[in-house]
Amino acid sequence: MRGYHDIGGNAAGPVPKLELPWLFWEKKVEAIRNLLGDGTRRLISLDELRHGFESFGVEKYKRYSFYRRRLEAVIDTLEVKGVLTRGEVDAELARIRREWEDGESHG
Amino acid sequence: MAHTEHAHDHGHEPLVIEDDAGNLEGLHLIEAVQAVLARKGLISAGEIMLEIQAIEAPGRHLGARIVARAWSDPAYKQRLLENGKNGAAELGIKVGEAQLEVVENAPGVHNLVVCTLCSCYPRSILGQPPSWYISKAYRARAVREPARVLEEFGVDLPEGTVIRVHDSNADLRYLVLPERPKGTEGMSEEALAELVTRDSMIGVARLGTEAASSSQTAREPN
Repeated sequence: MRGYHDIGGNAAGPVPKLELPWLFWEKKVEAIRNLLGDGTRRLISLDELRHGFESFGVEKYKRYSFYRRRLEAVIDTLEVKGVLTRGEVDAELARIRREWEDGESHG
Repeated sequence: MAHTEHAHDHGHEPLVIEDDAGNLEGLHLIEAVQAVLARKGLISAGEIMLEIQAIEAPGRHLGARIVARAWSDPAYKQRLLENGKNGAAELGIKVGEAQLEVVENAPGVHNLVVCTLCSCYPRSILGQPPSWYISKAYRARAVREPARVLEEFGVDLPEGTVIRVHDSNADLRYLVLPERPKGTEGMSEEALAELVTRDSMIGVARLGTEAASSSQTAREPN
């Protein structure tokens, strides 16, 4: 079966010749993925990362940007391996958002 | 941005780009992951900062050094074409992510690099891939109609030129060795390296044929 990421040879429109800046959060996604895959941790290989975003469903694949896909695949893979749970991440996310909103309203 | 789409809309566009809300969401989410990993003692903030510095360091300049040496030293070029990783290592450039194959342009032969499945790219030599390289349109069409894609990039190849398209993967990355521009005989390796653009090493530009090559060199700090 041909996967949804396997698009070589498909018809498509003009190449969007964009040179977008590499954002801090995107660098952080790459840095953390690299560290999780290094020789001392060995928690996520490149193959596992790719398996993550090539199997999490076409809806997510089309909805998310390049780095967001990778980030979602990192979380999925860590959850499968029992390193963390989505619930733990969501709890931290809620805390970070609250702090950010407090900062916004006071600053 | 007519060719892009608002993040989280239905995705049939060539490149999904986060809007401000999407970028904020991405930032908060990776910080949440970092916080969980830090609490478990798996990763520290200092390590992350060092790793960010490491992935920011490579850029056009590394590939340009390899190309300039290959133009200046035929024996080196031979070794580089035989084994790209070893060739890079001779110049102190470590290709950590995969094997490296250097493909040489010549009169009548033009090479183009793509990764149809994902975004495989010689990151340790050229840094992060440009946005268009990871776009659906480039990935889909580079192998289907490379001449037309090259035309869109302003590359006008002489009649009868063979185009070789190289589809990268996790284990093998490609670097194009562009043709040495005419009129550069006697130039130092350092001066030659200044002529080499990122796009010429991906294969979507030729050197010495357009003014665009010099402007790109000037724009990129690396």
